[in-house]
Amino acid sequence: MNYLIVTNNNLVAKQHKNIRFVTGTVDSVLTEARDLLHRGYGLISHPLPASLKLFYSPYRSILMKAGYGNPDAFQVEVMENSIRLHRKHLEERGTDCRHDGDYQYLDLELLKAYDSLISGGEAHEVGIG
Amino acid sequence: MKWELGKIWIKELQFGPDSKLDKDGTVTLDKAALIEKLMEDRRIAAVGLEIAKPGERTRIIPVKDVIEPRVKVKGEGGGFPGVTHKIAKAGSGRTHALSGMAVVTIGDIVGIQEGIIDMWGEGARYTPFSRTLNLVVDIKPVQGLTPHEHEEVVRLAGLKASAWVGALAKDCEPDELEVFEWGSIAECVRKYPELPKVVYIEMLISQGLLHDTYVYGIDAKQMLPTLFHPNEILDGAVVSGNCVAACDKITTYQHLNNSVIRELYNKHGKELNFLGVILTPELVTLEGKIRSANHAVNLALLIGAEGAIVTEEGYGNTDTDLLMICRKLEEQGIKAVLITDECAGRDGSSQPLADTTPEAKAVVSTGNVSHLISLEPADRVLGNDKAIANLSGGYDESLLADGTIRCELNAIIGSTSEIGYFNVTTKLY
Repeated sequence: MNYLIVTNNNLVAKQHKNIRFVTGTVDSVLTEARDLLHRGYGLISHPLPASLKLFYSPYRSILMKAGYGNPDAFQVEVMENSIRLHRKHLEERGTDCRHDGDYQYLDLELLKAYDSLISGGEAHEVGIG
Repeated sequence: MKWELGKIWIKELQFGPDSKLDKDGTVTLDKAALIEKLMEDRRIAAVGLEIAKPGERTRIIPVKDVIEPRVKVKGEGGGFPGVTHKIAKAGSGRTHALSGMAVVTIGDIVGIQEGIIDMWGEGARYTPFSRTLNLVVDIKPVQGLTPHEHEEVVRLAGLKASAWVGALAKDCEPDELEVFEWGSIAECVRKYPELPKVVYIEMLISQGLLHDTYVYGIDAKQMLPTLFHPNEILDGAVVSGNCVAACDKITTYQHLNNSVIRELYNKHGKELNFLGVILTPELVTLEGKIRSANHAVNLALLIGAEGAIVTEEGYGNTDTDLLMICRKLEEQGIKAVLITDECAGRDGSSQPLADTTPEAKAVVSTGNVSHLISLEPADRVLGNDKAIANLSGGYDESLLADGTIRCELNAIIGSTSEIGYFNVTTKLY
C-alpha cells in the first residue's frame, strides 16, 4: 500500500519511511493532513488520540493513504471535527512539554497498530504540489 | 449457563505472620510470602505492600489498576483464564470474592500517569475504591525494561496478587450467594416472547501501549466484535491494560462487577429480554472502526435485538466508534441507548463529545470529566503526589505547597466510569 505518515515527531521520522515531516505543532500536523485529504490522500488513522491526556501531547503522527481520490464526506467530517476539538482543548490548557521524550515514544508506539498496513510498503515519492 | 458468586464480606485487612481469612471477615496477609510470590517474575526488582483503609487520610497516586480478589471454587478454570491461569471458559460453577477488598497497583510506567484514590474527604466521594480495604502493590521493575514490558509486569503482578489473596476464600462459606443463570437466546425469546429484546454492546479500548484490553488473554486489537455470555465477563474474561485517563478507564474490578450487565440481569424477564454481550474493540484506523461498528451491529441484527445499550471506554477518537455504532443500529431499526461521560469544559458548556449524530437521541451521561475539584492534604501518601502534574486532569500547579491538590475529575480513578460502576449521580433542577 502506498502510504504517507504526516508527523512532527523526529523519532517517527527516523524509524519510518514515507514521511511528510511537519515542523511545528500538532495543529500544523492536523492542518497538513486536512490539506492532503483534499489532494487525493485518504485518512487511515483517526487524527485524534483515545484519551484526554494525549490531547496535550506535543507530537502526533497521522497515517494516510496515497491515491485515495476525492475525499468522502465521512473523512472530511472526522478531520474537521478533530481540528475543532484539538483547538478547544488547547485553549483550556497548553501543550504538556515536560514529558517530551515519553510523548514522542508513545506516539511512535501507537503507530505499531498499523504495522500490518505499513510493513513492506513500497517507499514512494512524497513530494506534494 | 449457571454461575454463582459467593461473597465473603471483608471487615478488616492486616499484615501478620500467616495468611488467613477469619470467620469474622478479617484478612491477614503474610507480607513476605506475597512478596516472594510476586518476585518469581524476574523482571521485578522490588515489591512494596501497604494497606489503605476507608476513612484514613491516605492518598494513593498514581494508580494503575484495581482488582477484586477472587477464587474459583467449583467448575472450569480459575483466576483470569488465559492470563493468570490456563485457558478455560469463564462464567460457570462458583467463584468466591473477597467483597469489600481490592488490590490496587501503583507506580510510574512512562511520564504520563494514571489516577488518584483518596480514602477520605472530597476525593473519596468520587471514587468507589475509597470504600474498599485496599492492598496497595507498588512494583519496581529491573533496569532496562521497555515500557511495554514494564506495563505487562505491573499488570500481571496485580492480577497474581489478587489471585493469591483470593485463594484464602477457597474453603469459606460465603455471606451472600448471587446466582447468574441465563440460557440460550432461543430459550429466552420462547420464555418471554412479549418483552423487548436487548443486547449490550461493550466497547473496549484497543489501541496500543497503555491503551489496551485483554479478552481471555488475547489483545483485543486482534479481535472482531464477538458475542459473549454475560457470565464470562463477570467471571474474569476481560482484563484492563490501559493506564492513561483515570476517570473513564474501566478497571479490572469494574469489568468483574459490570453494572450494566448486572442491571440487565435484574431486568431480564421483567422489563426486557437480555440477549447477551457483544464486546467490540475501539481501533485506531477508520477502516477498523467501520469494520467493528458494522460487525457489532450485524451481530445485534442476527440475534434479533430490538434495542441495544452501548457503553464507551475513553474519549476522542473512540467517540467516532460510539456514534457510528449508534447510527448504524438506528438505521437498522434497533433502538440505541448510549452511556458515556462528557468532556464539556470546566463550566460544562462545551460540546461534550468529539462527534455527534442526530440518531444519538438517548444518551446517559456519567459526568463531566473537566469538572474542577479540590482535594485536601493527606497525612499519608502511597506512591508520589508529585505525579499529579502528569495525570490526565492534573497540571503543573495542581499540587499546592501544603499538599492540597486542585485538579479535574479526570484524575480520579473510576469517577465517571462509562459502565456505570461509580459514585457520581444526576440531580434534577
